[in-house]
Amino acid sequence: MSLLAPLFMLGLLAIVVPILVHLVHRERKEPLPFPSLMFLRRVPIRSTRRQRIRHWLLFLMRVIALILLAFAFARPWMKSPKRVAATAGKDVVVLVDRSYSMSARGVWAKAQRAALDAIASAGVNDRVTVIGFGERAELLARAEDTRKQAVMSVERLRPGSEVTRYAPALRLASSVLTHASTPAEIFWITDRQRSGWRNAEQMEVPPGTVTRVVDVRAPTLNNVRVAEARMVEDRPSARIINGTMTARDVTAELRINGRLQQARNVSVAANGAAAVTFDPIPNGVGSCEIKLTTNDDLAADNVAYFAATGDGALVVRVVTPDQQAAFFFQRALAAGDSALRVSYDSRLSEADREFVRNGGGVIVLASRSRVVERATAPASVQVTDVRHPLFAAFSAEGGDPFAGAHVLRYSRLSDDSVNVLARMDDGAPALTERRLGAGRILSLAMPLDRSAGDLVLQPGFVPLVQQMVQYASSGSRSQREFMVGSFVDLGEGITQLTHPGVFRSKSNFVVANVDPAEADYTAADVSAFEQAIIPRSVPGAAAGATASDPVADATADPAKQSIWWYLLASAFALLAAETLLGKRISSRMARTA
Amino acid sequence: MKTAPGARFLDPVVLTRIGNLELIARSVVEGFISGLHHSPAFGLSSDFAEHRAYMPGDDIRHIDWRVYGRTDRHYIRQFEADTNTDFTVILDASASMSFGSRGVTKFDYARMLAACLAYFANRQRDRVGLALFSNDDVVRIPPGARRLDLALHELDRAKPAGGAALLPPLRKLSQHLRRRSIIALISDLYEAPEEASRAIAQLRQRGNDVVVFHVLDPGEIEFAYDGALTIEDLETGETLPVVGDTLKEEYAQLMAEHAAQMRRRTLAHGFDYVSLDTSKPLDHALFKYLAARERMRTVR
Repeated sequence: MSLLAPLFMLGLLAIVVPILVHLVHRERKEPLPFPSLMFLRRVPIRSTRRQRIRHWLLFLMRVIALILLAFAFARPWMKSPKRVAATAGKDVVVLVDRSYSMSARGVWAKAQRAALDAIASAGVNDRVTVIGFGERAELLARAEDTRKQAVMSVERLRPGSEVTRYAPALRLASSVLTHASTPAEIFWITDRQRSGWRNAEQMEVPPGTVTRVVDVRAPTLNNVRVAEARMVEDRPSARIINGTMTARDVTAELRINGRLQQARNVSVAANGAAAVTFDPIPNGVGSCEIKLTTNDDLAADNVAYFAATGDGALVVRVVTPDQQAAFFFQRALAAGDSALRVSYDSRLSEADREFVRNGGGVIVLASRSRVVERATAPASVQVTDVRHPLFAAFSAEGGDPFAGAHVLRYSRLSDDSVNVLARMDDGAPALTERRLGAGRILSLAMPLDRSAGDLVLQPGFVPLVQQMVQYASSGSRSQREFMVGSFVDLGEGITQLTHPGVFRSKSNFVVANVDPAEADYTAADVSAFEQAIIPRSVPGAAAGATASDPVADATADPAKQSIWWYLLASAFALLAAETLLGKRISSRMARTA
Repeated sequence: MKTAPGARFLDPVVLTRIGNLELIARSVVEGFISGLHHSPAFGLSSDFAEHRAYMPGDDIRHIDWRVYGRTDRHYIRQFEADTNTDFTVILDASASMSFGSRGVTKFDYARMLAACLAYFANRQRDRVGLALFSNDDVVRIPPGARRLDLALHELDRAKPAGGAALLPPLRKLSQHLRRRSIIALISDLYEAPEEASRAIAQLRQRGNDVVVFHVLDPGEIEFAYDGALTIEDLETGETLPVVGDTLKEEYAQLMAEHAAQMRRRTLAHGFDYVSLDTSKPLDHALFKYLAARERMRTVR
């Protein structure tokens, strides 16, 4: 048994009180008339001072009540018999990647076998925990469960539609191992996607914990996927990306509300992309999907859903005071083969503002002639929030499209009532977003020419421009398209979009697509998994020490603390009985006196 | 020794509720005598002393019919017990006598005892006297044939107060004893045994027959109080803090030793010693009186 608050045991010192009460008698207030002190004076002093405890039952009741109270407040905690009996074993945590990349051909079967092998390798006294993870981690089998339950949890597991994120799995594993003192064993059953590591996450584990990465990735991933499915004016269109080493002929099918409408044969070069556009369809038809019929290794991203609700023309207006500033912008847009239509204005007019209010997007570029700031030294630009949707496509590269860029001249943008998406070294806004009605205005502080710096020459410039246009235009699409895992309100309560497809309510619908970032099959080095764990510091304890953390252990399971309630109830019952007995004794003594 | 049935069951606590001393005394004594008449083992002394001529009013039960048969004249047999004597009750009226733990104080008990003894003595046609003392004050009623009512009256109005050294009052009283008497000294004897003995010895002159009634309350025989308390001396007002249950044993031992010493010293003087506690019925004391009276043989 352990104590969560051992300092309360100092309350046992209160036992001195009933001892004193029973020894140091309460003196009668009124003197007792007595015939003579003749004999009382002759009784030796030592006799009058010798004390003894009377009413032993009352005394014991008080002492026991105080002991119970002290223990109750000290919150004793009983270790579970299983854990007590199994102290000889270690903790084994099996982390199974169930992101949608694990549904690649042959990968999932290998992963399940590996997970089952990891469970089977655990000793008889070992405690096995199974965690499934994608973008989120879930505890599938606890350490207290039987080995059979752990096996069944793996056998029932299937790959989902989420992307890979290792940090949540690591956090959950670390919390499972919080109260473990012996070295643990962590099995990673994963395809080692580098995109799963966002930052250099690290978690504490018991000292001596071993990490074993079971690589189940396919040697090569021949993947053809559909991306950027949307309405371009009245035509459904998409991009088909060929991630294989050979050119592919694929068939793209257009389905409206689940019914096949059109099909196109598309040839896509090896490691290339091609656009597919369908015949015009009526505005406001509802949900659409473009599905590829192809034989590739990963089918999860072969379909893309979008909404054809006729909510507005997908047009972005670019406001630039001079045509030369627009030159690099236009070239970047053209290089990306965007299906969006872009118009150019020389100034931000009231019509542009009205356009934005109705859901349109405007991008304001800085004018060379209106630059007022000169950087004393070439300045770099940092993204303020890598999770911003504008930078989603850059997640694999760490979310920084401005990497390597240097800025010499820039305009001073206001950061009042705007969302600053990127800043200069000196804190001045470099890229801002301002919401206006249903749309948004993106403003870039750097003129897009060579005199302002070398941003236009950086690799991130072209995708930055394309993402800015995509993002600026997204306001006009009234938020019907989301990624798997998002939470939306369809008017009947919050719903999580757990898989790709169409989600409907009585009055509304939305579509969900898998995150395209999962298509990046770049492998993370095994060392990244080993470096993700750091041994927990245990002062004065050697590796393998059996000291446990009772606070975490007990707080993890409130049922183990319930003994304090019974101790408190017993103490109060005893005090009630003591009160009654004390009154009876007092009245008896009064009658005798 | 059999007691009178009525007196045996007269609890002193009950008697105090009667309130009237004369009534109490009569009830106790008549009941005691009635019991004596029915007892084969003991009775009034009937030793023959002499004859005298019958006079109207004499008890015809005492006519000696054998003498009448021989002489045709009526003669009354006169018994030794028919001789009357002086009987004095000396009652300690000090403040310590006001203690009581059972509903009857020592003084009330002693007062009833004195009344019973006086009533009994008067019934035996002894001359009854009374003396009450506290401090150096003595209230004395000399023995007389018709002093019972006066004695009962004094007993009734007496209030215990003050201290009680025995020597001064007993010395004073002894000077007033003209005749050989039966003396009943009723006291709680809170004095050093040697001092008390010296005081009681004052009564030995003229061959007096003394019965010392040592009256105590059960609460002072066994110190009946527990816990820490302050004791106040009823006579001096002095206080003493004590813890009751720690001194019970030694206190009881001291009390027992004191009583034993008093008994020894009293008997050494040739007197009788009766230890009474207020829980005991009064007839026990009456027996003692009778025994003392037996010893007082006066043949005229």
